[in-house]
Amino acid sequence: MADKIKKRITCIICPVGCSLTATGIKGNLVIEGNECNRGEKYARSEYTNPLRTLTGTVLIKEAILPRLPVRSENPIARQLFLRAAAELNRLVVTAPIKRGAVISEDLAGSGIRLLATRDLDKL
Amino acid sequence: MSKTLKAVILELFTENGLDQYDLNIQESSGIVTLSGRVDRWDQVVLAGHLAGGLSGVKSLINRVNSPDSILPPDPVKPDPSSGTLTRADLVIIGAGVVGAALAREFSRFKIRIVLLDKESDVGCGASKANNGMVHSGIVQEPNSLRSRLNVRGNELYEEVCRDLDVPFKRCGLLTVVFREEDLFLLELTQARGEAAGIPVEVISRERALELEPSLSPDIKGAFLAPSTAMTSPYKLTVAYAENAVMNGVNLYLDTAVTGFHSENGRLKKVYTTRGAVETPFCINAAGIYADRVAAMAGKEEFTLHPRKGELILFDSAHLDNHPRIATGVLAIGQDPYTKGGGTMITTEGNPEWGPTAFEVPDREDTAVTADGLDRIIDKFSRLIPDYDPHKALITFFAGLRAATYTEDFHIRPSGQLNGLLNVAGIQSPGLAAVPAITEMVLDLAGDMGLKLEENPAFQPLRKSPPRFRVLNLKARKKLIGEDHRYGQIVCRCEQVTEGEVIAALNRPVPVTTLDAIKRRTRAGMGRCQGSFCLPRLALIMARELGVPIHKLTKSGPGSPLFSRPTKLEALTGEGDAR
Amino acid sequence: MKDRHAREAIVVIGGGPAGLAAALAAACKSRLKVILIERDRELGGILNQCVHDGFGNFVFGESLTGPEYASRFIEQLQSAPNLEVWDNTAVISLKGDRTLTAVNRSGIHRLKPAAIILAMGCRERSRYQAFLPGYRPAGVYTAGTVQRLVNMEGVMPGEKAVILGSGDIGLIMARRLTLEGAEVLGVYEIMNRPGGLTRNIVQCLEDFNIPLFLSHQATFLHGKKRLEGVSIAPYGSSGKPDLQKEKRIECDTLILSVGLIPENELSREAGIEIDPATAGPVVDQDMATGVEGIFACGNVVHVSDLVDHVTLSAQAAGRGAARYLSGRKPAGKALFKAGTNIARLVPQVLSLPVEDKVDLYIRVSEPAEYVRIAISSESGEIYNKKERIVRPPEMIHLQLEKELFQNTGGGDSLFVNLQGGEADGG
Repeated sequence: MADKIKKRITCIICPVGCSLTATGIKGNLVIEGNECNRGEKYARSEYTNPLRTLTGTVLIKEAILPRLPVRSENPIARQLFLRAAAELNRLVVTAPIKRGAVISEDLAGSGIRLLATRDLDKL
Repeated sequence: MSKTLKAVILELFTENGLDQYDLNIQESSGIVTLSGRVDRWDQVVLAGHLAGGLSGVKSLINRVNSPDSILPPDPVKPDPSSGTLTRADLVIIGAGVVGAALAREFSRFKIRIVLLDKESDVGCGASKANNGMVHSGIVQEPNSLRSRLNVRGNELYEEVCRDLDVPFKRCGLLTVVFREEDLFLLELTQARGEAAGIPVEVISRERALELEPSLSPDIKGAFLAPSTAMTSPYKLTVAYAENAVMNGVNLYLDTAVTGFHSENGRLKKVYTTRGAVETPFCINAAGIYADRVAAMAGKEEFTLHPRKGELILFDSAHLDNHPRIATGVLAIGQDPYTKGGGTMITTEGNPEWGPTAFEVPDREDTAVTADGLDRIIDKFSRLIPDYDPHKALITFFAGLRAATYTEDFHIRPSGQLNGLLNVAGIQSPGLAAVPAITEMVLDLAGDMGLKLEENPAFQPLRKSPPRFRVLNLKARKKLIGEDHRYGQIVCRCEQVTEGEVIAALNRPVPVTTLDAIKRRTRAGMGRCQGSFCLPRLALIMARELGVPIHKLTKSGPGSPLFSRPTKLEALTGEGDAR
Repeated sequence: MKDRHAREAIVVIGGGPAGLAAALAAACKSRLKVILIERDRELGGILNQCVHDGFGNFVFGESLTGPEYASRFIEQLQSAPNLEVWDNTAVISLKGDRTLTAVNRSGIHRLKPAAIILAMGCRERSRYQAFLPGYRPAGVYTAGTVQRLVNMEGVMPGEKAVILGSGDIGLIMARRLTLEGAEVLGVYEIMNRPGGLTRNIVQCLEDFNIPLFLSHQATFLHGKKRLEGVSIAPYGSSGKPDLQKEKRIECDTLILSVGLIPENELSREAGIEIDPATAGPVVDQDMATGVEGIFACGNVVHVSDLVDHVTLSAQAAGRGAARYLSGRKPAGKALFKAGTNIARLVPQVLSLPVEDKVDLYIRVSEPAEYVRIAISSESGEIYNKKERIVRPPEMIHLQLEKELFQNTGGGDSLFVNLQGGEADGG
């Protein structure tokens, strides 16, 4: 961890929405501005490895709709987010598809699977 | 005589502070040309009006310039080498309500007619953006063409709308005054009406409030003009155009006129962006650009200046506390910006307020302004105090009146090209005057030598396609039984069915844009303004027209609704299936 | 679809999140047939286009996407023997005697069901209703329309977008359009605080460096054919835009997220009393409207920020309709009344006797910290709860035990007040 990197983080755990600062000093992380312990925990994960669930659509052929909604099975690292989204834009599937079907085994090298979030019947 | 006219104009310029500018005035047999430079557009308009308002002036050409002038773009240069598009006995330029009506009326005769418009649909100028009022004629200058054609047009309207199956409602007009000192205006109006043969009755404050309890108790008196009516201006335009096409008129949309070709001063060809139309006769009904088209014959013959009218439409479900009769306000020295406006209910049942009247330099400026909205709401909230315009509003829009500086219709043969007839300056009450304009133009064309032999096959009747919402239960059941797509609602606010959208796409006048669908079916005209039906309409249009959804436009070239399909990378090499 | 059967049926109008939950609850609690009428081609309503996650944290304890949330109900409905779904069917008329007219490809259907549950949802406020002047070009859309176009029809509204209003759907679409390759120039909000949830501000804007401008107003739309730009000005203290600081932003798309309006045309036609504060029907804790046998739930009653609240109100309506059909009628009614810093509340009516927990939903007018929510009758306080912070975008949901109301009588008023705290102003 680089020395003295300061990040501003808005806590989203509860409606208070505390403005937190997380400062990394030689491997230690100092969190300020949080009103509760949940905020500290959130800031730590946002600082070190922020995770997001990727959702979107992929092209589907021969279905009643032209696009299939999908999600990452688990949250993926935020820095992989744009790369993973770009991957979605290149995938093509063919109907019928069932909810939960695995559309991609490994999203952007994260090891996380991409799943269909609805059924789409053949046209 | 001519010297005097020039002197009078100069005097007027001095009285109005325009003498500080070096304005040039030329006059020849009643045609006045102004040139020079002023500081602001309103001074350009003032100069034109001062000169154009004089009784000896037949036409006014206003070349006065100002830094905020916006000249219309130079027309595309005619390209004589582009080949012949078609030939005709008569070309009509402009498929607004005037051009479409003329096309229909001339189709009563055995002539080959071409109707041209630069837009992707008929009626895309002032015809789609006015309040739909068929005026009685009482506000017009008694001896003007506007007055004569308005009164006559109003008489003819009901029959035209019946033949063409267009909504028409004689709602009447109640115009009020708020001040004792304005009461004399009511008497004046009545006298004027009597002279012009228009029924007008001055009524007391009490009687007015009895007729329309939603009016402000602060009014002092009113006049009632029972012949004022409402129609749907875009439906009328479509109906005229459809009936014209049914009767053999060739309609070319997306086709702009670029010039004329003449031999020995006689019209031979009309050049367009799609080739030349060989023709000995042409009617210029080009709306706000009619002066530019007239000038393609050589030089300017008159100048138009756009006067913007902004209108607000309210939810048809919000009719409480709103007058059923059309209303207006009369006062000495009232805000000219909202002077001509009033409240009315459209034939579709929406309360409507406006229009404003504001001179703008740009012939494309159909933007609604915050100021215009404020003024309309202030003025008519005073007239109808218990109506909540903010809650009821569903949309607003603006149109441009194509006014000459003589402020009268300009319906005359071209002074420089034999075979060209200009039907220009058709500002308010143009819509009301349309049936009378066609009568007058038929006579003029005959005088110009256009041979009019009756066409026995002419079919004057045109039916509107069925509208689910207004049908009774039995008719609805029958319709769905015949075509089940009439049972699929696509616009929830206006209850428009898929069947109606498909019918609109298969009418005599081709429909290719979302706005055209909207004007035919009312889909998207309701309280949600298309947020529900847009994706549904787009799918139906793409399917029926056989184009990808992302190629659809709102109003023709330059107005794409969408930019591209998503997942372009995935689509590459495959083409989009939809 | 034989009309005469309907007399013995419960009809649910709308197959979105509210209608799904209401139909399911009604089908479980009543032996009558339940007819679920949906105008679209499939059930799910807005959930089908909400491909993002964040649904169901409260109801299911996990974060589902919209289609997944819908499928939880649709799959259960499929096994309900007494449920019938009419898709592609629009209700075009509803009278106060519960006579209902529906239309679909097989014809016109007139029903007079034993009970009706209104679940029509809401519509988006348009550019015109936001009084935004200018031209009327292509490229100006509401956020929900864009969401359907992008996520379901697979078509992009444009490439360079400005978002007006910081409602949740607008924020969500800022992220979606960015991920689909469009440029989102910024989100402009007229209020001095965001309209959407903090989670969406962080994950939809901050994650993608999309700027949020508070106290800004759009003043003019440019472009006659396709949108070419939008003028924006700071919202002045006078309540008017500060035109001295107006600037034009070049863009081809404007997306509006400026408010939702409960869709109550049918309710009005039926003569149901509408609360001006919520713009939805006045209801009791069973979601019964003032018209006998007609219930309402979800966004038709009041716009919710979380689908979970929609589901809860719909379940109450389904149970309420079943209870009504079992013949139980309230013995009296008390009223909940909005007091200090309460913008609106649901239910507005408390039917007596109270037999279950009462779910009370409150939206505050202004943000405030360290407050006490208190409910008082004329004889004194019956309930209070401390809240660290309250904000207008986040609806407050209170579950009130029935015992609280044992001394409440017919005709009583129960005042809901926010006490103490420092309102942030605004």
